[in-house]
Amino acid sequence: MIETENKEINVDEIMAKIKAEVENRKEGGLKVNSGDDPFADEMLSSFDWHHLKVNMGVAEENAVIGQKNFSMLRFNKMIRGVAKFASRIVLYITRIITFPQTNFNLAILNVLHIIRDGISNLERRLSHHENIVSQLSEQIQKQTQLLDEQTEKIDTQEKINSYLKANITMYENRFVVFMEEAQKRLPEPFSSEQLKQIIGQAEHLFDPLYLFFEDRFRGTRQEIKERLRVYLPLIEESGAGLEDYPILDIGCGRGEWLELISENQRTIIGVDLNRTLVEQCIERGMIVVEKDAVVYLQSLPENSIGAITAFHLIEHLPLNTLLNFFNETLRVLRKGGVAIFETPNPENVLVGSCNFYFDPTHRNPLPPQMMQFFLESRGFYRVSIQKLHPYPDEEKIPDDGSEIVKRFNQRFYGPQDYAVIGYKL
Amino acid sequence: MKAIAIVIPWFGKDLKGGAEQEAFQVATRLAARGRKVEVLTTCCRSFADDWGKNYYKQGEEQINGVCVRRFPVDKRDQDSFDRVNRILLDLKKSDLIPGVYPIAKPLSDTFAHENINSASLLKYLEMKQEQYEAFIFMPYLYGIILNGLPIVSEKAYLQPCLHDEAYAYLPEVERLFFLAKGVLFLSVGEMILAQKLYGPGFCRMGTVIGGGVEVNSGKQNSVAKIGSFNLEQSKFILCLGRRDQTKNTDLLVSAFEEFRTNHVDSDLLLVLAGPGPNNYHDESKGIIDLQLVSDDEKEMLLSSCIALFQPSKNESFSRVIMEAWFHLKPVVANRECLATATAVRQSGGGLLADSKTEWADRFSEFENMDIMKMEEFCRKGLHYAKENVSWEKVIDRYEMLWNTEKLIFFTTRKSSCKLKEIHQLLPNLTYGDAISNHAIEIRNFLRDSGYQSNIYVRYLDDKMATEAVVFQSKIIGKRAGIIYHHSIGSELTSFAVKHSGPKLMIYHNITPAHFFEPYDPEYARILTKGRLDLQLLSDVFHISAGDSKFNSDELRQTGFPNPSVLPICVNPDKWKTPADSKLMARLQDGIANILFVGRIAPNKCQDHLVESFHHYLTMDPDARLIMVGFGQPADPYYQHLKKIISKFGLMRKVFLVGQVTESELQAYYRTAHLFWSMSEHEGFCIPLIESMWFDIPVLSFKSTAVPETLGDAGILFNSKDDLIHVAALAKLMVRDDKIRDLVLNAQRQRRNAFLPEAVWPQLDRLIQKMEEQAA
Repeated sequence: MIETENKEINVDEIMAKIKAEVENRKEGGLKVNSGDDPFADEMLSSFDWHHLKVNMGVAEENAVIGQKNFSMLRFNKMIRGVAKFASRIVLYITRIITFPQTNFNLAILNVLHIIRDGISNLERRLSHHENIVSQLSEQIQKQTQLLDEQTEKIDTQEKINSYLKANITMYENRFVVFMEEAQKRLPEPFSSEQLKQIIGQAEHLFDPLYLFFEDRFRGTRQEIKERLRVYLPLIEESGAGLEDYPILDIGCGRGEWLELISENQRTIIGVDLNRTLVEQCIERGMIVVEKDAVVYLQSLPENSIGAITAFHLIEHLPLNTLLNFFNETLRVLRKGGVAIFETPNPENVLVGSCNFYFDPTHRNPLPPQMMQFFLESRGFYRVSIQKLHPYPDEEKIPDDGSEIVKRFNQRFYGPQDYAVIGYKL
Repeated sequence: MKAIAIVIPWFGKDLKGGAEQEAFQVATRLAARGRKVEVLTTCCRSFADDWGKNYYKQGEEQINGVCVRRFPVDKRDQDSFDRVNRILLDLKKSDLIPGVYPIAKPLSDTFAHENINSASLLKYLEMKQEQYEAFIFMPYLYGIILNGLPIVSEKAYLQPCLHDEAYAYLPEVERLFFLAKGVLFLSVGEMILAQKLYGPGFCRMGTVIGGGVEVNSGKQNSVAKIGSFNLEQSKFILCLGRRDQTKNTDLLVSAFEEFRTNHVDSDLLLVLAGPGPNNYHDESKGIIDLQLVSDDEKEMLLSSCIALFQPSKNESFSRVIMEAWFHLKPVVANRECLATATAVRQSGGGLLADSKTEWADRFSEFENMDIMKMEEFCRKGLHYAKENVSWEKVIDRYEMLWNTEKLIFFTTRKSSCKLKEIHQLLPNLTYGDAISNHAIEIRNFLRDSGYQSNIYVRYLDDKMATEAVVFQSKIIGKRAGIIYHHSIGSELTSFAVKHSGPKLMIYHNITPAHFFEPYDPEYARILTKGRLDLQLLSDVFHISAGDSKFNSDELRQTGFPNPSVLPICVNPDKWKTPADSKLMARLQDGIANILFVGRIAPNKCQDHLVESFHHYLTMDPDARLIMVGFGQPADPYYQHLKKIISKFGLMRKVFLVGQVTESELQAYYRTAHLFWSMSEHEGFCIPLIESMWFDIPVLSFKSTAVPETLGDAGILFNSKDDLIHVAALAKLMVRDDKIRDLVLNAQRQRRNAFLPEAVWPQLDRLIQKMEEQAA
């Protein structure tokens, strides 16, 4: 680490001393003292204490006037005596003038001393209070940090509890179903209907796990809600969610969109196959149906829905189901109703090659041009693509104006999602 | 042959003061060698007499071959002087801060004016100075010195016999060091003290002349007893010299008492000899006070003692220590006395102590010391004394003052030279800028060499208005030589390219663009372009030089043929001015000042420095980091730096003071304990050399031209992977005296490589090449 051409310096000895210093530091713990620093106080103070002191010295030296004889050493002995006598007389007479002046000088000096001491005292107190404020700020910062950490821990714990609770509830339900059926039938064997019901529970075996998965990888409820606000103007423009034309959110998940729309005083119904998520949304007071999306849509009359939304649903559907879904969507939408489908954007290389596959239930990435084509082919009009959620600027390569950097940022740090939006004519 | 004059308030063979003895010896010994020597002194008899009274008659007399001219003293106001003197003597050590005058100007004026003065001596100096080759003024604090030296400053040598006392801090004394042509020191320690008090401005003109010591070895001496004290039968430690509080005798006696308390069976004695008001004699405690002794008795005491202890903190040169070494005795000196401690350290002829306990331990150590170790101390001390304080060698050094040209190297322009004019071109001349100062030095050298020479710039700082001329086309003749200073290029570049006369390009390096890309892409593009333009210049400038081999290698790689190296000269003469007293007062508060000088720029990595300093504080909280240099608050890197400072909570520990005046910069240098650089790109790095002049140890990241500039001075580290270890090293360089001494010793040698006299031969060779081009 150390290099020197100085032959007098023993590098090994210095390295040993360095190690000792670092060891002491570890043992002693961090001793950063960013508190009192008189120089800092002076730097922050605009007061020139040094020159004040010097000039007050001069003032003190000259405050008393008309008291001292001039030096008569220039004169020889005889004349000196006469001169001294004469100067004493002159001093005595002029004291009429100099005496009040001297008093004035001394009084002003006293005032200056008092002011100086007062300023010094004020500066000390200010510095002391600044230190206190600084320490308090530090403490508040530390406490806030601790609080944030604790909140995060509690949040995580709550999520785990929620998942465990959901798991337990589900297993309880299954057990109850099993016991009820068993009670009905015993000592007879289970009928095929009963077996179907018991086995049907297996479809929901991993529902709680998906809730946990959403919490881990999707983002917080608040983050998702914020992201979804971008669609509110479309809803408002279409008039959906008012009177008799509710909004339908297919694959409503944790219910952020349901919550957002409800806060905007509009009617919305959620549809999801995940029993655990459905139960949680119901507990929050939302209207949610546990049903297959296409089956549910097929149960609705045509021209009955104001808007249909599906966020991060379509990438889960096989092609035939997807096309059926689009057909049914168009059928049940009222005239002028809007469909909004958001899905990961595979034009972003990171999304298309990696991030898309975080969710193992995703089937394959859906290029935006393809989705636009599908919607138009089903009969939607004014189909558009809205690109969303690019990476923040600080994560991108700094733009030096070159083409390569521009393209790289587009491909790797561009929009991570897109929405395909279509209307019923 | 003109005479050498020694100016001193009192002169005579029998005067006891150190300066008076020195003056007598120097005058008479120089005269003995055939030099014409005069002494200009007053009619007052001695220090102890009334300074306003004439004892001797005015006029000339011959003493030991020396012409002594005595001048009557002036009448003086003794009361006023005594009042000021009392104020000065009552000042505590903590009131004495280098660079800060301890009393107001009117009071120091009184001290100088009502001191021992002689108007007729001053008039004589004014009228007759041409008759003398040189003047030596000694010592520093008397009226005829304070008022006389400025009259003949161009020929004046000051031999201050400096002590670390209140008088040394007066502005009138400081002025002497800035005005004198040369300063003569009795010891290295005295010189270091002077630098501590006045900065390095006088260093180039400073010489350690040494003090001579009479050696009476070989003389038969039969003194066996002094009073009732039997020298031959006693085992004792000796303390010689005036004994009073200022000489720290009380401390030594107290330490000896502690030693005897802890070693009740010891028969070691402490013997004191010398004049003084107090009597410490107490046989029950083993303390023998012999008061004033004769020279013979002193010789026997030195021959018979185990060791000499010198506890005084107030010495410019300790004659008794040298005498002890000539008598093959080891010494112990006070660690806080620069003069004596430096001599002991450099010689290895003894040990140091400062606290009472440490002095007490030394008594024990020497009582029980191994004979081999003792002999080693003695041998080393004797060698040092012979080399440094024999009168022959001392007088040789005086002679060298007048016989050797210590002036700036210059070359006389020969009549056969073609070039009459050599001018310089650079984009701007800025106050405080190193390149600008370098250009001024080059111009002065050219003028001294007989060339017409100006500096032409595009932009001229108001403060530099008299040093340069704003460039206009056709202002430089076609046949004139030009020295073009190139960095990133300017409007003057095209003129330099087109100039048909002889031309030299001095390259000051272009910072690589990648440092600026994250912060200022526009400027990064300018730097990139600058490097591309350099290639175009390689075909045009056949004579070129870089500030360093690093820069020169860049030129070679770009295609310049045989580029030379012309280091930037750093002349300490520019610091012959007082430092900013306000800052000097503020910054000497016991807190370690860590300094970096350089503009706020990404390649200088001040952000790394802040982070490292954060670690430093965990090992040494009493420190602050001061960064001096231009920085724009709106600049992205500046803002980034402020964020880093805020992130680590160091707003009251790290100071970005911006661009400062020369006197402020001097104050920052003089109060710094470490210069610490994390820079990753430097073409030369002038602050490293400047730090060396201010005796600040240098710690730097090893990059680009830094190792070349440092040479074997300073300490480099080659990795930033572990900033905690780097910070630990920084702490050692601030607090470990042994490491500091080793680094500073090397730095004091290295800095001389950048003096004008070291650099000008290389410039001269480049000018010769220009002359060949002209031919």
